Amino acid sequence: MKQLRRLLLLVVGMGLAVGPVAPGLAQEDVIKERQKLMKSVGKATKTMGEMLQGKVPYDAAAAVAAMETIAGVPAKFVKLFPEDSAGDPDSKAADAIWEDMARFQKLAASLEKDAKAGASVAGNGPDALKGAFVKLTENCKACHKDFRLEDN
Amino acid sequence: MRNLLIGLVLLAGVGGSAFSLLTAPSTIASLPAHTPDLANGERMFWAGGCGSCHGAASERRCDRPREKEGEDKETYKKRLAGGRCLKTPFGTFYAPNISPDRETGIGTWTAKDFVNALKRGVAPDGRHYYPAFPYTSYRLMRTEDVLDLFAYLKTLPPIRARAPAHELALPLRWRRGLGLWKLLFFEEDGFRPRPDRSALEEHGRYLVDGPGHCGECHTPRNLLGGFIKSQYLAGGPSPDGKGWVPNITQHPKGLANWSAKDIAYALETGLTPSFDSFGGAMVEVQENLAKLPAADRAAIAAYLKSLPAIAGPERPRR
Repeated sequence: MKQLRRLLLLVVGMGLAVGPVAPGLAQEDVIKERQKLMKSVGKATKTMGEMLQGKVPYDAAAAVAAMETIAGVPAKFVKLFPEDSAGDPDSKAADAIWEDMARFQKLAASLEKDAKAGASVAGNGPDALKGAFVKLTENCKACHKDFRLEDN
Repeated sequence: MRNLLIGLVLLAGVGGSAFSLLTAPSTIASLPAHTPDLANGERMFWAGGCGSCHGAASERRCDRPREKEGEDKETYKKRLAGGRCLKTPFGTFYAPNISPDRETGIGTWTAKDFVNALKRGVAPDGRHYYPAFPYTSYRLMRTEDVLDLFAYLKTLPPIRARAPAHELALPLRWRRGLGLWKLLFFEEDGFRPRPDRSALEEHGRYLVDGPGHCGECHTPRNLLGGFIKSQYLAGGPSPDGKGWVPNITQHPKGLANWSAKDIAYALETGLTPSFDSFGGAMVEVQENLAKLPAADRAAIAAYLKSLPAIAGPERPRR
């Protein structure tokens, strides 16, 4: 069973690289994968946020890497929402995602764009990072406002 | 037999009058002399988040108000045409037009009408408002602040638009019955100062309990929709039935591990101490609060840090 799951994950991983998730993929696996990706975004955001709050010293390379991590997520993320994964009690994904997939994808594209732009300036000092960070995190809110179930 | 009948009629009469007395809307008769301060009115507008419910609903019926393509995130909140819906266990409420339009908005209202709406939950025609409109919190606002807010709303663009009628179950359509609800769950008292608290905490308490109406979502409600007062701000199921509103008392599951600075930062930026972002309705609230002076957010944080640790309702297992 465990091996089967690993195999499935592998198939998912390969599927991600080439296109939409294969139909029939276990629902809990897409959900886990989404959560993993969002966790990586949260971690990268924290890395930058703590620099801006002065909790850790500014580190140009780490800031750029964090922006790049985030820039790599949206394209993978939006492919993890097959119709049959809607309404899962383990997931905070709101039904609105499937009701307005176009807008959901647009917001993801906006995050990708702002993260890429951020990666190109985040190494230019704390002020440059700050501007890019503010712009970047607007995307988090814009998406979570309508597309994540209320729980914070 | 005849006597019995007369007796019954009399009893019904007495009962009816008692009911009529008990459910009669109560209003404020006179206002203090006051020269409106528009800047303070705008501050109350953002503290109260008027535009997040009354801003014009976007293209889809019932949607949350939202900026148009390429528009900033402020203008739409000042188009107070209404139309956004609130889905509750009691039915669907539609936020009315509160733009200064004379026909469909509040353009012909007097200052007294406005004060009675906010502080008493009574409409200019004398009917009760449903507490989906949070006068249950706004009652705590200082009359001067309400008058300033009214003056500020008058400066916003008039928009002709009639919001849909509320969609409620039959007994709830009868507004007079709200008088009974008010007897049970509504107090008319204004803000009572607590001398044992610091000025900063007091200012925060005013903003949180009054204009900010935080408790309207963050306090769990009983079956009749009244606050469970012993769990004030301790969180609970989201009013629209999906998701969960967090505990914001000093409970370990609440804000115990957030510093006052963390709270103020989150209200300014929408980012939590773990750098997750706010979501759902809190995004609107945060973006409104970000318009306030930093001292207001610091006051809110100081008050929340001063709250006791209160356990909220148990969250169902996911």
